[in-house]
Amino acid sequence: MAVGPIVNTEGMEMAEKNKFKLISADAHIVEPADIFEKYLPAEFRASAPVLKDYKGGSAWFVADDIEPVVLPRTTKTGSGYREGTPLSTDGPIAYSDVLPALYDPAERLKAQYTDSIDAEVLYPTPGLWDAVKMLDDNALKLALVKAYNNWIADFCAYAPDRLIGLGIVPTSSVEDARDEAQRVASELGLRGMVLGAFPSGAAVGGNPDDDPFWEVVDRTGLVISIHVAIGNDQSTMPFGGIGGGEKPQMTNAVQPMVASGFFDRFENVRLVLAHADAGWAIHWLEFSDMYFLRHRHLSNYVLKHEDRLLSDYIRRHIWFTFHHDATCVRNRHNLGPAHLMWASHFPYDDTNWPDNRQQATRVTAEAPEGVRDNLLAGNVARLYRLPGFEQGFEEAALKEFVPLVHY
Amino acid sequence: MQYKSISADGHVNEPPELWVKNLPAKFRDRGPRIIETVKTKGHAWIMEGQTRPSPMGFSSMYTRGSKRFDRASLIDSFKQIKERGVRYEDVFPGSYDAKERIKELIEDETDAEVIFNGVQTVWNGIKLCPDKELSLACYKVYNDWMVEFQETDPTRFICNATLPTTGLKDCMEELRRCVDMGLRTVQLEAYPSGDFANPTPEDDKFWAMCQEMDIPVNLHVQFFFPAGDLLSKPTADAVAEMKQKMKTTRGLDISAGHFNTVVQRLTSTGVFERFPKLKFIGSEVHAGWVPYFMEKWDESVRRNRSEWTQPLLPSEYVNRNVWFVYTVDEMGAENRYNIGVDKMMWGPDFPHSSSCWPMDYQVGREVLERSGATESEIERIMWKTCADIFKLPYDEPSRISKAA
Repeated sequence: MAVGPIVNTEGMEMAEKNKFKLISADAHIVEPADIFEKYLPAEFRASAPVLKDYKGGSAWFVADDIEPVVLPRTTKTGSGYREGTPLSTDGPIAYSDVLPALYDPAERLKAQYTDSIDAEVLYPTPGLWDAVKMLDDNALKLALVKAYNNWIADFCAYAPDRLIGLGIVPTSSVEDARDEAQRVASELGLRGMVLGAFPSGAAVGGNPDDDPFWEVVDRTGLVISIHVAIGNDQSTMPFGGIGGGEKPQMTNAVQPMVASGFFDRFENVRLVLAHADAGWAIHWLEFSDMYFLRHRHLSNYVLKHEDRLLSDYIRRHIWFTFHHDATCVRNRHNLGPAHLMWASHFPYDDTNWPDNRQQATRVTAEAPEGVRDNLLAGNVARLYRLPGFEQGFEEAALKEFVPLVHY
Repeated sequence: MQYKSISADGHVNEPPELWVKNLPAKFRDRGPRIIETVKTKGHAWIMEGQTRPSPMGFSSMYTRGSKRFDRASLIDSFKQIKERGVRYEDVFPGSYDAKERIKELIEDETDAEVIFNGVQTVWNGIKLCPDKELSLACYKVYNDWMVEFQETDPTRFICNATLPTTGLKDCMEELRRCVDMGLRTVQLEAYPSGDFANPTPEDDKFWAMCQEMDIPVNLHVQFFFPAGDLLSKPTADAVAEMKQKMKTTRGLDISAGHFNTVVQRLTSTGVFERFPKLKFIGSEVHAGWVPYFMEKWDESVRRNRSEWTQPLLPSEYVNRNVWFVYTVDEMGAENRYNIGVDKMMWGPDFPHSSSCWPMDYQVGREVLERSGATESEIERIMWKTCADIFKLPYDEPSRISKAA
């Protein structure tokens, strides 16, 4: 596997082949202003979202009945950490102020270098695709998603071992989702996709109507991410501002997936719960199991393995990204240390760009070196089978955790 | 007096005839009473203004099958009551008879207990009652009974007054009346103003009173503000929506309840800044979620300093003003240094279904021992903090625990 193109910046070295030291499992791009102009078939262009001036900045106009989607405020600074107090920008960001690293792959590598990051898993801008989810025109929805998937594939081709782009799962129909997943895996060569809503329109996971999509996922090994929330009416934009750390909404979709026997049907499916940390999950797993053990007869559980707890399924099939979350590092033995992946959240307000290496070092400080390497790079490299890690995880590593008693 | 265990969370099931017998004559026919549900022949509470009776739930009863060692018998008894609803004959007599309760506590190796009301059941009706005068009278009848219950053995029972949701004045007057009668703590069913959703500036008068009298304020999971939505739109649709929501979140949202939201609202509006000695206790909220909650909250404040109007960090207020009561919580025990050994209190929730009676004490100790807690930490969590907060006199144990 060839290492990506050399970046022509003085003093910037190419990452030594296959030696990943720090990989962000969750970072974002900003869709370039001309993405739909360039990537959408002509017949859809007239109805595509347009980036226009809005309240002194820029916003995507997606449809008449959908609020304009302003660019995330920190796309100008790369981080809330560098915004200063008070915030340097009150109104929407202008596209001309957006860091070029967010839409230009050559610039992106420089931004990675500045941040001491070897590779990033790249997510789209949640607000834009939340708006697209709400469109009524299914043909348009599908075309927009395909345009994005083609664009991110081109973007990542610039440095395929450093730019790990995720496709988007279309929500126009189960068939569309199935076909696009197949195309993304075999033609575009992407390693994973983001699921913003269940393609069948189901409110929770595990609905058999979605099975044709999951069959492709199961077969191709695509890694599926849920970013913050899932559902047609759900905002997948990470919460900014002041607030305590809580269990994210997406768990409400995941638990029924487990209960319905979904993971018995699709044993290879691997889900990433992105941009939501993992410290909350110690409590979630413990109490899910406790209610399962004590009150399972009150709900409908359809599980093939009678001796498995809900948490066994979750630990087996779910990965967490974490950022400001030393709690999950401290409790890694309970969560399963192979399932935790550090993330930078660049360029959102909780990232520390361009000082993420220091943040990553600090938050994982208590883990011994071998474990820490995995938290910072090894786990994400194995999950996405990055160059040098094509063999993925060892089965024993995946099962490594200290179980609770569950009184 | 020496203790080995004090439960920070136990419950009554209110006597079936409590209100029928004790409400003033003019209210007697309109207050809470027990009826038999048509389909399941179980018991349910109903009162004026309530269209849907509140059945006695699974949680109100307990059966002699320890969770850990006899799950089959537990499941069996649940199945029975699934087909025929819960009746008063099913609940432990100690739920409403203080003398019986003492025997049950002794069997559970629990030396003393903080007593809460019976969760939703009768309280749905009392909180929703459109006639505030009637509602207030119901609270008073209950609190009078709590005084009586506690007087059976004040070294064993620390009974909560349930404060009225009918307005700030009623809330404060009832607080004063209950404290005068000898109750040492209160549980809230709404913010003191009676608002079910948000704190109000006028609540300060109540917090000031609690601080001045050094009365700890309890908030119990699941029955704080449950009726908020019902109050605003008690339509069949709203009820169905709520039920659907509960169905899809079973086993997920139930653990932390709304306590974290309330703590955030009180902290960010400066209640703990203005009342540094206020004691605010979350009962049955558990503790395993606390470390990440606090870590993230502090981090978000450091990052958005200009939006934070309080002089201290959130964790500094919580460490000073807030306590967490758990039933069985292995991750909480393991994370005790990141929660605060002296911020956690053991409370097995007897006689509700999450209790491990008659092994609550043994399970409580075992959870802590397995997590590597020292004897002095175990004492701290199993009774000492509780004794300190509720001012139960005790002789210092003669063992190594003096350092704690």
